[in-house]
Amino acid sequence: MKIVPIFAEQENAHHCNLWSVCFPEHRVDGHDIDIFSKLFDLWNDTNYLQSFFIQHADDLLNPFWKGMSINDAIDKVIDEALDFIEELESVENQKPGYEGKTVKEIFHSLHKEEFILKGKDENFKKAKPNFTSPMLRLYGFQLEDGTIVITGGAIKLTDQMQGDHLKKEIAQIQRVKDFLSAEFIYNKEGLNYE
Amino acid sequence: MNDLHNKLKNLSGGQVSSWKEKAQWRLKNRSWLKLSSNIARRMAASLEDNEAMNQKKLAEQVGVSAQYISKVLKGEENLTLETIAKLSEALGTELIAFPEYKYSQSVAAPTFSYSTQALVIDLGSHVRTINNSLNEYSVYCGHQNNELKASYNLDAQCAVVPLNNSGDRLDYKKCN
Repeated sequence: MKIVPIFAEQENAHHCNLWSVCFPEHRVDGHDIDIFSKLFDLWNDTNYLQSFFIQHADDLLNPFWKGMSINDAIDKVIDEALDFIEELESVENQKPGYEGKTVKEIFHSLHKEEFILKGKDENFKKAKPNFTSPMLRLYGFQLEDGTIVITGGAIKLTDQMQGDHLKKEIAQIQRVKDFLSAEFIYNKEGLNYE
Repeated sequence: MNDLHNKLKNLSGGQVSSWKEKAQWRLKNRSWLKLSSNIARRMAASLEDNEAMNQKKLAEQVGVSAQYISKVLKGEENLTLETIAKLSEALGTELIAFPEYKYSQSVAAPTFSYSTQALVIDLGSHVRTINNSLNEYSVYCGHQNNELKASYNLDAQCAVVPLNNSGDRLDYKKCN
């Protein structure tokens, strides 16, 4: 397992407050693919998204999604992913309007270890009548100094889905925490999922 | 220097997350990637509905590798018009569609109606093809063959000719 910086070049890695995990099972042709990159590849993979939403079509019937079609759901995931990436890039490059803004400000913490990604023009979008809540979630935890370590992510359609999916995510989080503890790196509050 | 981040750095194996390069490429090409994704969705649905077709057969018919079809289905390939046309033909389905535009409507002849006061010519879609130099209508009263000039309103898409004689048989032609 590796922990790699998401933002900074390697020589400046000590400035980075957002890190991603490379799980050995995600290694392809000898290359480690970190989970953050892997998730954004998946969330831009039309074939994967179409299969995912066909499989979970019943979940889209929830009035919460306002009669969203599979086609619209694919658009929504891709747009959310790219809007967040755009926001992340703007923060990294401290573009006009982003001066002094930090990565933590675009990670809205839903629960202790579940983050919603704030995309570009978030407030503007919320005001639209057809607005639906974000589908994408990142999972991870914060270290002693608030540094965020990303361990996983999901397209979340229902609360029930959280029950099933969260077990896997909790296991991943615990696995990474154990790995870091062995290196004398500790998380902010410790893992206490009830 | 932050001791915690130095410890993390030691666990990176000198590697940095690979998200950035792809992210920049996706943001830069966002507009055509959306088109590519939409084509991929329609291809996948077509493959799903056609039991006699699969990715391998499609690749053979189009003259590309199965790996390429697999990449196309991910929705991140910048397809040429030639490839789209071949894929469309092989799948027997439209993968791109064109919206109606001003010249796609039928060029219907203007219709007219008249009262005792005026003749009204409904220019309908005809008005869209009127050139400024051809903006005048001549109207003929059938038995007298008197030529009357019509004034027309582009916004209302109609031409109005005041009439002197009620009940005359009228015809019209576009002035040249």
